[in-house]
Amino acid sequence: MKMERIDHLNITVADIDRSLAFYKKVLGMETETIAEGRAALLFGQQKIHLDAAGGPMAPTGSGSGERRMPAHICFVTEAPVGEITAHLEQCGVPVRMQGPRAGAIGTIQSVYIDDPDGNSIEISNYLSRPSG
Amino acid sequence: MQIARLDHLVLTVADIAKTCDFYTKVLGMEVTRFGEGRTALRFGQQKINLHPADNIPGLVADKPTAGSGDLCFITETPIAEVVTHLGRCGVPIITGPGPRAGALGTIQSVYIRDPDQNLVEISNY
Repeated sequence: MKMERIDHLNITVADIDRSLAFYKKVLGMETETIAEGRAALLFGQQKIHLDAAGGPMAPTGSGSGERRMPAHICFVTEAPVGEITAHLEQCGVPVRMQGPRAGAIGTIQSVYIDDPDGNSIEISNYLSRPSG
Repeated sequence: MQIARLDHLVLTVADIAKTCDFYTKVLGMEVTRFGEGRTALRFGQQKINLHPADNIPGLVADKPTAGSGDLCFITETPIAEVVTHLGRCGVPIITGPGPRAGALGTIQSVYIRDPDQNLVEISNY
């Protein structure tokens, strides 16, 4: 049995509206409200579910941690790094670091930021370097 | 700027060897090493980087926590075959199979737990 790709993952956030605004503006995702305390971020063939901390879908039992998936997540974009950093600056989002990294299928150029809950977000592309 | 897909994410785990054994045997992933002794699980165009809970590297999430993950994977294996495979692996099914809302439409899902008690959903369209 082989896994093709991740379909979605679930993260718990302190403030759903704040997270929706961030991911829409900074990462260009589409947003969808599912129910009170639950929303989704859509991009490509995948999505991220957001559950409000303390909301009906928030994890409470043992084994899931009180704050689900305080995560490091890396996203792939086709935007060049220069465009990513310019966009982040326009959004007023500080870049923590940047440089080449080992992506899933080769070397990526990555820019690191924090989301409003302190999750570490990496924005990357596989574009080859400018010719010359 | 548009996001095309996830490239990778990080799971903080108690025991890298145990996690690799589980994800290769149960989910058919491939173990790869990169950087300075780091470990990842490869599948399709994506991977999961593993961080040992007792030796967390520099740049990480605010509160890395083993067992806090909640992930859904797509397979082309029919769900009945998934169930049979899990049975053979001795992995208990938490719930399912049943329909769920996937990123692109309705998926059939079963839920299991990995060695750190992360919730793992295995699905197909």
